Amino acid sequence: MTAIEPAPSTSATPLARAHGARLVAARYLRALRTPRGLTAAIILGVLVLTSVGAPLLFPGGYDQQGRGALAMPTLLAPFGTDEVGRNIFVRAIYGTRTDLSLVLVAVPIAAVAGTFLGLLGVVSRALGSIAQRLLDLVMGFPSLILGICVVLVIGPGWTSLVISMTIYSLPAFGRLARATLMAQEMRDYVSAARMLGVSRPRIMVRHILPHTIDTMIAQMVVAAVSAIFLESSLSIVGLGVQPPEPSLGVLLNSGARYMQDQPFYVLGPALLLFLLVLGFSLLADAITAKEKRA
Amino acid sequence: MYLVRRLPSVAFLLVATSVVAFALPRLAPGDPAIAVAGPDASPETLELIREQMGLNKPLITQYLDWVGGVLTGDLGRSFTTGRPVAELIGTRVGSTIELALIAAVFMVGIGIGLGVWTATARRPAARVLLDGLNSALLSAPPFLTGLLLILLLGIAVPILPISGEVAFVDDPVIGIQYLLLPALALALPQAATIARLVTASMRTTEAEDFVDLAIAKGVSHGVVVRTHILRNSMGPALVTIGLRFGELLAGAIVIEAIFARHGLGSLAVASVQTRDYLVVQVLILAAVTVAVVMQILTDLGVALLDPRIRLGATS
Amino acid sequence: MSSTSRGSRLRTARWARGLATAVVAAVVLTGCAVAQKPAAESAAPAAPVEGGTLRVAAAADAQPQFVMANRAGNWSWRRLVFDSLIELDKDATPQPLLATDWSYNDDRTELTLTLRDDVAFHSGRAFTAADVVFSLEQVQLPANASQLAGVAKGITSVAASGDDTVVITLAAPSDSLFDLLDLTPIVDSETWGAIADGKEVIGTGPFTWKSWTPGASITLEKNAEYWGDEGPYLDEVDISIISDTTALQTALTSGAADVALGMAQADVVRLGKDEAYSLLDAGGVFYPFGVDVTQAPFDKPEARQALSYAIDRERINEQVFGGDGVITDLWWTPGSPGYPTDLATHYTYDTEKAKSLLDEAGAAGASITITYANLPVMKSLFEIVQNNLQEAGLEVTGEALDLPDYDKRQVDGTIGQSFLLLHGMVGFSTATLIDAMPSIRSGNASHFDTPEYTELKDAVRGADDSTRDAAVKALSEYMLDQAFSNIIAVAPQYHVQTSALQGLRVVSLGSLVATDAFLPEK
Repeated sequence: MTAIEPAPSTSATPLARAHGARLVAARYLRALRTPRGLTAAIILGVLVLTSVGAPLLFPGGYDQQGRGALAMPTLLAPFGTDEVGRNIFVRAIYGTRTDLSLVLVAVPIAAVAGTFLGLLGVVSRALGSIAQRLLDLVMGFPSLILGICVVLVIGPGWTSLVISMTIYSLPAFGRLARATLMAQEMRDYVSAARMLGVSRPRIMVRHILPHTIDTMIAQMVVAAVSAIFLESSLSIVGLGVQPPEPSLGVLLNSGARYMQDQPFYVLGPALLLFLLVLGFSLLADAITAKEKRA
Repeated sequence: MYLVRRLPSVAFLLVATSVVAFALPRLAPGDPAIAVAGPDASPETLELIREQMGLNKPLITQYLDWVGGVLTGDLGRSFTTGRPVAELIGTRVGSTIELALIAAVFMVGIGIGLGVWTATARRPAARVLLDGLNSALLSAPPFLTGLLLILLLGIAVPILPISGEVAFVDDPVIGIQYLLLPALALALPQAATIARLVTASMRTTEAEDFVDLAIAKGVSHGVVVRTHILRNSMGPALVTIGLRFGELLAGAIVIEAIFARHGLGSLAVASVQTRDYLVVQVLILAAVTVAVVMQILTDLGVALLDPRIRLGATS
Repeated sequence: MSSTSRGSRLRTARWARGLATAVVAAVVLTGCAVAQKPAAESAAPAAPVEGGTLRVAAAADAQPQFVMANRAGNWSWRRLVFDSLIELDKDATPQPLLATDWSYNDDRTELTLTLRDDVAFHSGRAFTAADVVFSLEQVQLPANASQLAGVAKGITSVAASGDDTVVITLAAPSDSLFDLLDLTPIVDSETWGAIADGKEVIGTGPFTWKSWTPGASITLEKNAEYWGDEGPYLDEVDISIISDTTALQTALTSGAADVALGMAQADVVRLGKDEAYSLLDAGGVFYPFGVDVTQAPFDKPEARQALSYAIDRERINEQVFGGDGVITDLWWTPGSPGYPTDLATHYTYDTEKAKSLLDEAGAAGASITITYANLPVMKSLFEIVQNNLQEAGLEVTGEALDLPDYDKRQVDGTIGQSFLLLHGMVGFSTATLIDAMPSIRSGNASHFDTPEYTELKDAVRGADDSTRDAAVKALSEYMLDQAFSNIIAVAPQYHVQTSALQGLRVVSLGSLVATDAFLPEK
């Protein structure tokens, strides 16, 4: 018995389908009321709101340069200033905005596409095989090289980063879906459905897919972090987001160079990244938490 | 039997990889001729050098030449240095392998340990702390952790070397000291990921009936954890470990750079940046091959742990 | 429940034991053989110590086929493995090296040099005048990429007269000849053709080239048969290629290297204040902001001058170069003969003036693309320049190119509408710079070429002590007015060494000379 699956009582039978959808929605809402879920919602809520509202909160933008370079934190500049006198806190918020815009597009697409590719094995063995090989190819490809090549071909910018991140995140979802598939396939209810003549795509969507959701959500957190790291690595070789636009990766790289002169340059963005990751993690935990047995 | 059935798809994979590895770097602007000709060359000289390098031959010909070479053991020559690709890779592969192995050990050890600890923690205070720790580790990019370790354990309190390397096979005692910090920096975020999945698995398994049954039978908690929960959680953990290993290699590029280790990572980046096609192609092919091997090993491992899974059913 | 608490205590005990074991292991490991070296103590200058290995950390990889050029990757070894005919000292006066004596004829069109007769190449072959002829012929070829190929083209013939004498004939008197003789190494004609793969690099210098792992390391060994009276003292030189700037700095500060080449400016400034380290003056770099004069709206000089007024050179000097650079608008080595100091600050930082000039030229609010190479210092320059130009009302787009793309565009002459360049040529005379600096020589990236420009350059090229000041001034005024290339910074370059290391010198634009170098007794 593999461990990533809900307790048997929630495995969907055709009769309980409609009921199941309502249960799922209820479950997500309930998750928000747990301490974990609530904390996550607060953290993420604040971060997302500030990011989205950044142009309103900081209308001057992220490129206000000046003479006071590498200054220590003050009330107006809680993280101090960078090497050309810009307010690091403002840049970090805009950076979070950039990263969120990249990640909230790339990761869900990768999750859906990856899981779909991973589950293709149900529909037809041949398709499943080809899908797996494609995923293997992407997975084995050194991620930084893949990112560099994509960016060099398309040209630096938001689009090429999203494409790189999506391609890069695909295989993990695919493999986890496949692992679930391999485990579920042998279960009685799948054989039963097959014998009843339920079509293969339907088996995939109705029966197996719900079991993949939990791992998928957990993986989405990991994928989001990895994608941010990918952008950060690409910034190191100058192919990430282009100056003067900030991203958390760019700030971490630049900040790291000045760690001994102005430590808050790197600590500030690192803190924001930590909060972002914490928020996503707690949310994922809250959603996938199991009901306590009486 | 399973391995034999995998062969055709593996072969297909390698062919597809070789095509992508060949095509992708060539799509980027620029080529290796300029690195040899220098920026002060005239356009005619540049053309001449490109001709000499065989870059003007039709792409199909170049591709087939390369593949033919690889199959007969000739990995080609680097365009920019004239050295055989095999030599360039050979001098550096040891460095990357030892880093990856030690990092993998850290990753698995710390990951499973942290995961078990988090899953079995009873006090809420401990759980909060461990969640925070997990997120902190997860959100720390390897290069940042590496830089912090350099500052703390290499400069502020200099107890470990932080620049360069000594091959483990040459001198194990000194070699391992050079490996500790980079491997740790590399392993931590992946360890956190593994820990999360182990914890999640364990919590789910814990909720299963058979665990209650075991406890009711009077089996001690420790034994329950070890024999029942842990073993059944390892399946997905193993899959994750396989995935994480790939990420380790990705992170190795940056770690090698900041710890001044001369491994395959810096070779890969430098080769892409100078458009040294043949080196890049071989590295990509090798990386994918390693990933495929890892995947096969993982699949075998998962099947070993869970006898209900029959290999080959869906692949 | 009792079973739970017993279980958890068991677990805690287990973890504690595990942790303790790990700590013990770590202590044992570090106790056994410590790879960490204690920081070197700075010693007072002492008598040369024989033996020892110099460890160099260099940011750029070697390019043996370009050893005739001044390339950062070759600084660490080119003057260790090769000798030149002469060496220019701090006052730009030539000192004997492979040539012991020299003299011009009356109209300075013929230079006769007497060579040493006790020099041998590392392969054992004796060095003769024929090798000088070969080297000076090679330096003219574009394939060898010498920055001074233009100067070499002015040589009509190089003739050997016997084994010990060489006569160089020039088309016209040239103020740059000794720059060329200082930069050009004397190479071995027998192995020059195959030098690119670095298997055999043969010179006459104090160290022999033992091995090269591309991108990783270079090993040099003492040349026991060196013709010099004193030195080399060191047995070996190990050069490690470390391209990451943080790792480069770490190598030096952790004691893994004795000298670092190519460090980031911020690190140089910080270490310069530390007594344990010394800075070696390695020349400097010109940073011009060039504009393509064939593309609207910057085909009008007013629009180009506006750019120069818009840029805050003081802030660039302060924030990118730690205040260490020279704030000047001129393309010449500060302090060189004929340097028109009063013109150096012709352009002041005046955003309003820039805006009004742009209006005049009909270029208000225009879009401009700035191309630059993907290097950290160029990125920092771009950040400030684009901010300055945005304030002047322009719409700026940046285009970061990595090296192959950048170099290729330079060859094709299509770098872009405007571009940030860098030329590591501080130290050359003005006469040399007008032919060597890619931003201002014929066929420059700005596509700027007028008869007046050529005339003014000719005047400088053939100038002597009495005419130089006026000629340079006239040329400078013209170039400032045309503003097709705007110098935004001239920054010094330093190599950083531990103070304990003695006798290491830096010559011709950054090359190390280690003939007299030694490490004190440990």
